Amino acid sequence: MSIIVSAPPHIKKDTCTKKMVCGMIIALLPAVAVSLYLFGPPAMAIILTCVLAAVGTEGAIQKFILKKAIPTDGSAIVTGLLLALLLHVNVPLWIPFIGAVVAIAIGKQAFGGYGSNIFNPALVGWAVLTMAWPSHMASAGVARLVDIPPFVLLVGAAFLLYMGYIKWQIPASYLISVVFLSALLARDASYIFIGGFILGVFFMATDPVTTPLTKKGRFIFGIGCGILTVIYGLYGNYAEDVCYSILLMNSITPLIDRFVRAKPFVEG
Amino acid sequence: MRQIEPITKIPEKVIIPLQQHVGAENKPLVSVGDVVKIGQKIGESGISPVHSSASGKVTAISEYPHPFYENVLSIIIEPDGKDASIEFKAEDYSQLEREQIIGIIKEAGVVESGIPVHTKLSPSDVVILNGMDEAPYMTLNRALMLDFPSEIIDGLKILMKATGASRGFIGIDASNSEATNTMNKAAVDDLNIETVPLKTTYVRGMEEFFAKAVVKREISRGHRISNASTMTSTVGTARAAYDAVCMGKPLTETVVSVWGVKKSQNVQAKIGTPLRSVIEHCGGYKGKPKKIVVNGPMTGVAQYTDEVPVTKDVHGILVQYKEDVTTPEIQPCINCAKCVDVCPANLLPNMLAAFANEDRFDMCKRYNISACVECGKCAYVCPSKIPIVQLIKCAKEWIK
Repeated sequence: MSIIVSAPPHIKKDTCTKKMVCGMIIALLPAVAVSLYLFGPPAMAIILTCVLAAVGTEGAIQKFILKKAIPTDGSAIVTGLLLALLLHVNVPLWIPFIGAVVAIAIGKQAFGGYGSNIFNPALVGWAVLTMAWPSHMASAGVARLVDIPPFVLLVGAAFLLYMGYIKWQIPASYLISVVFLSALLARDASYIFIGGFILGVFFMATDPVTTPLTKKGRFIFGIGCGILTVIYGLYGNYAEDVCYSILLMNSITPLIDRFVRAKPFVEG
Repeated sequence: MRQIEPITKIPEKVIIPLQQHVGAENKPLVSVGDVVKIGQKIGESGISPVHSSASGKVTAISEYPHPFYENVLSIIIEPDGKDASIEFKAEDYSQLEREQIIGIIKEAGVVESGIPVHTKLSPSDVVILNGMDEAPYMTLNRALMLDFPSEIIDGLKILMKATGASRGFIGIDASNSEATNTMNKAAVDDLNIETVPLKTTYVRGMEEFFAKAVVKREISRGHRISNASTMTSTVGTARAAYDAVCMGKPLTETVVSVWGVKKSQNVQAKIGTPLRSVIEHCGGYKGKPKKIVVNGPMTGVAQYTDEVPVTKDVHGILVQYKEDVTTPEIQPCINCAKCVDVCPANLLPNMLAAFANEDRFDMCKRYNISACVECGKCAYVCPSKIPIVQLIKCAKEWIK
């Protein structure tokens, strides 16, 4: 009889990173579909450019530079979709292309690939575009792809929360702190019902890779994002506050984790 | 209906390892050719003796595979089929002194997770019995409570007397109302014994964690148990204590949850029965076995042969087949923190695994690696399929 010997545990839960990435894509699909319906061919062109450029960049780097067997794990699709949703409908197509290449090459692969990046790649792409070509990124009066009825995004968010793919503590504390601070400063908080804000809170601030591990850390991260969003909001517009708040909080994620580690439960 | 089926067929061969507890190995008290009876003491070293579980002839005293150790000196008995036993001397525990009870439990060789139970019976205020089942597939505690409620309550009283405790609690899974009701009925006359429904999961090796969960709940209900010293044991041990004191029977049989066979069930097997005979009793293998695990899928030990005997600490046998045994490709950690959420010791398992993988044992220490009880939950939930527990175990060995 040939039986094998191995270390415990002898059973594993039926989840994998691929499933989590697929879940993320599924959660974004309603938003993508409604965006395509509302904005038509230009939206289609932007989304396709973003996704293809992201996947292509990742594939090229992993295959030719890192010599990996599997060129992409699908997470580049999520990055591409998120970046596309942040762009204005009337941007020339070289904008999404450069954004996606920068997001993957610098935002992700330069740090060591999926799991090692410090910043949310889509936000890195977005930030570079915003600073380099502000005229294209802040066209007044032109809608962004994400400017869709908010419930469409909430359906996706509910799916992610139900499946346990995102850390619920972050959106909860983010939303509460924004509402509370806005009330305290007597500011208008109606932007929490705008697509861009919901996308940020549920899809970008919850990216597992760039957010704290510790339970307390997740609350601090969410509250920090909320405070920064409101402060930015005093001077800028909602579209930028959400993204910059998350980027800034991403940068201190390891610090948060270092300072709020839970006390271990020790016997004796 | 009975939950536990005794295996009545006497195995062809009974193997009693002389090492069934942590500590010095027992010395054989019999030699090849001797005839022994059920309950006869056949090995002793002053810590925790072993007894024969069958009547018959000693055919060999030699090294034999053991479910938890490497080869261990074992007494091999060929049963004569008569099942003759020595005379058991029953006692009334209410008439016994504390030291007498401890002595009887010691002589009966009662062992729990490798620890001789009599060494745990230091003076305490509260005795807590664990009636929770550890992992999927392990249902023996539930079965024990349904089948032997009054024996367990008497066993608990014996343990209370032996430790001088005034109160006894039985922690039972909150979803297991059947067992809770049965135990409540059995304990109805004794105001000092209570069942405690718990929502936490039981983790092997974290008795104190379990005790705290019970005590915390009792405090929240208004009971005054502040800083109580607690003795934690299991319902199986309580039953063994009952058998030892009230029946005079040493520990020669154990209850085993058998899964992954034709008829998955809880059986009561003689200590020394080869796993193969237990599996045959349960209808045999469902196909070609790929892995045989003793004691639950989360922390259990994979065996290299089904000839190993059931010992005092074998409580589960899980047979896995080709489709159950997968070796998924390891993906990079994505910081999803699922392992952090399930860790009962409040650690950061993914960080520990990453440090261990990079030989950064200094950082492992700083992240309290020694608090890890190796429950396996992190590796179970990990979507990247990282062998977290193995990495942590490896780092612990290095740090030693």
